[in-house]
Amino acid sequence: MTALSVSRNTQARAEAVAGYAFATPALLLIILLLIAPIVVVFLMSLTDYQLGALDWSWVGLGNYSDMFADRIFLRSLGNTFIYVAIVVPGSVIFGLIIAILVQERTKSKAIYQTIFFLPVTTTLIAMSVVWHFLLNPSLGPVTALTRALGWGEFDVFGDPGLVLIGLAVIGIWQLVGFNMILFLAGLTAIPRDLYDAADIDGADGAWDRFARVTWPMLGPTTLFVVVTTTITAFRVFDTVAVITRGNPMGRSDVLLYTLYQVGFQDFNIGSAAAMTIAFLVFVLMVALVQAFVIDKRTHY
Amino acid sequence: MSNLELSGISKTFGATRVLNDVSLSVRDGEFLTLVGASGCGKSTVLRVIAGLEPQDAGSVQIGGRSVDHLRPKQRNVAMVFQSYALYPHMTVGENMAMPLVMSRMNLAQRLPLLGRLLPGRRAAMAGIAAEVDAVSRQLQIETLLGRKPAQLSGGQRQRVALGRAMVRHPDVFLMDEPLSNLDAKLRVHMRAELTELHRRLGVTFIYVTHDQVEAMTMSDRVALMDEGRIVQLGTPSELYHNPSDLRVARFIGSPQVNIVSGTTVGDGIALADAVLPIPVTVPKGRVVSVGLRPEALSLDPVAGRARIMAKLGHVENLGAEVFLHFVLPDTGAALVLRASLDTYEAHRGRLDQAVAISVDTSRALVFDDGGRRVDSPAKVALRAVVTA
Repeated sequence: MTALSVSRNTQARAEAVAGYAFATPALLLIILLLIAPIVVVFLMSLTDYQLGALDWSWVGLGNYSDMFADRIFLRSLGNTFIYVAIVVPGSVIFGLIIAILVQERTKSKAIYQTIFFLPVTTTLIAMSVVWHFLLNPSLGPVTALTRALGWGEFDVFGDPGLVLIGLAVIGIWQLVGFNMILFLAGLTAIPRDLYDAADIDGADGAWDRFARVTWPMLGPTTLFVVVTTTITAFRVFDTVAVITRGNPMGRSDVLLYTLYQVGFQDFNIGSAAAMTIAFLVFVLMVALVQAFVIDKRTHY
Repeated sequence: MSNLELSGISKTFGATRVLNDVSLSVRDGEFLTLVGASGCGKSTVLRVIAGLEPQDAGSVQIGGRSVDHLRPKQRNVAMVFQSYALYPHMTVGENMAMPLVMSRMNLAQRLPLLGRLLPGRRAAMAGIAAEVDAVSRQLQIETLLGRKPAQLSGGQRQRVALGRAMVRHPDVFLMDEPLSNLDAKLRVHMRAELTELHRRLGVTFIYVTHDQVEAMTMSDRVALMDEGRIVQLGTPSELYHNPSDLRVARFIGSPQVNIVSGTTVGDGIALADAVLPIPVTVPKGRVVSVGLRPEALSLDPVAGRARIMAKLGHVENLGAEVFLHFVLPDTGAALVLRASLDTYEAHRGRLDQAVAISVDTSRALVFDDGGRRVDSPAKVALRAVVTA
């Protein structure tokens, strides 16, 4: 009896040791590649370190208080939120609509899928140049079109009221294909039986099928798409850096672009690190909302 | 009132012909089962009746009027799916209320939030709730109305699916393998419960299954399907005792019918070491398949019956009865014999020995090489009356 329980104890211990041994490499990698950099950035945010400087000192939370008093930072934060507020609904709704339309095609499905997915595979920097040309107020074909239609000229990237919308349209254009693919996967996973049952129960109109079956069944997919899109939209940088550089009058200053300027043009690493932490906090909040609030309500 | 008539239904998916001129007439209140191996087209028949799958040719009539042009919801049929197809995001109560909500409330009233402000919604909802409640009591799921399908057991989900079908008081219940996702014990229980439900509701049931036991135990009539056609339509007893086709004989009955090949001779069929005196309608010298149900064979010598010698292989003792597995010495064909425990005890210890088996030739089923019945139909008809 005792001998048996002893051997069971040693076996349990051996299994525990083996378990930790197997988990260690992954754990080390997570610490080294994910946790440690964040900790380092956080420590840097507490200093006045300048890129290339030889000495530095701790400034406590000084960078943070400066940051929240900084008009440019607050403006870029506001612009980023506006950008996210346009891009997320736009790319999610269009992604869903396109997915539903493409899903119903049989032969041409693959072609449409590829076409809408193309923007995802392109380099956004290169595409920004193309967009810049397309919307150029004097040379661009879009201007030629609006002029021909008698609508006048639009300087999208020069107009303070239009610049964020213009950037958001590019953002939507780039994200729609990816969201479409995710929604297509979600649509494929809906059992056909449910649509049959809905037909028999009388929910056979397009709206009822969508409202009673498709939309609720896409809950988990939609949540995932919204979260990934929000995080991607939050990271907007390429288009701003190539096309507008924050102009006109700082109306297209966004978080990462300001961060880049502070860190790599002003070499103010301490402040840039504080902004990075602020950025991480926003992204983390989005992820937490997914994990704890909505996840429970969309999985059945 | 609501008898159902299928005439000349054909259906093709791509290059495959799934249904081939299927005609079927179901009486009001009848429990009719479509049985067959998977891919025989039985589920497609159900989907054509429901209107989920348009037929290429032929017509469906319910209660004497054609429903070919009607959408599924207008045909007043209810369907229970193998997967139950419950809406996972709705509670049990909402699932069951769905057909009534869709038929009694207009689009505006069904809208979330806004619909609550509209007149008539409250009264409609109260009426629906009362009916859902009544049906849930009949099915003894009234305590589950607030739960989501994911929180239910398989048997409970099955009842909810039945409830959703019952609330609308359909003319016809269509059931697509409703029991195949349940465990064996529950399946036996639900078989009895469905039969009871059918008796209580008195509505036409069309039931699809691949399980011949379900077909035999529950139905008024059974249609056995193969390769998109109805091979035979009849009472369970007719299909068992008087199959018109070798495929029917093989499919119905457990253990399976014994099939032994024999040759027609002048006064019967030469089979193993005996000549069975069975009149057949084929000329002599032809090879035929003789079907012998396990109870057409016996160990006790009966005066005047043909006897064949076979070697006793292994024995399955089920308690109340025993299945004895024999091997015919010359061909190696297997024979299963149903015996009482007492008979078996008397022959105990004869394993691996040659034993004389007497054959009740009046119950033998003879099929030609195309699988058609070729023994005297008159005799067969008489027997059907006796056994029915």
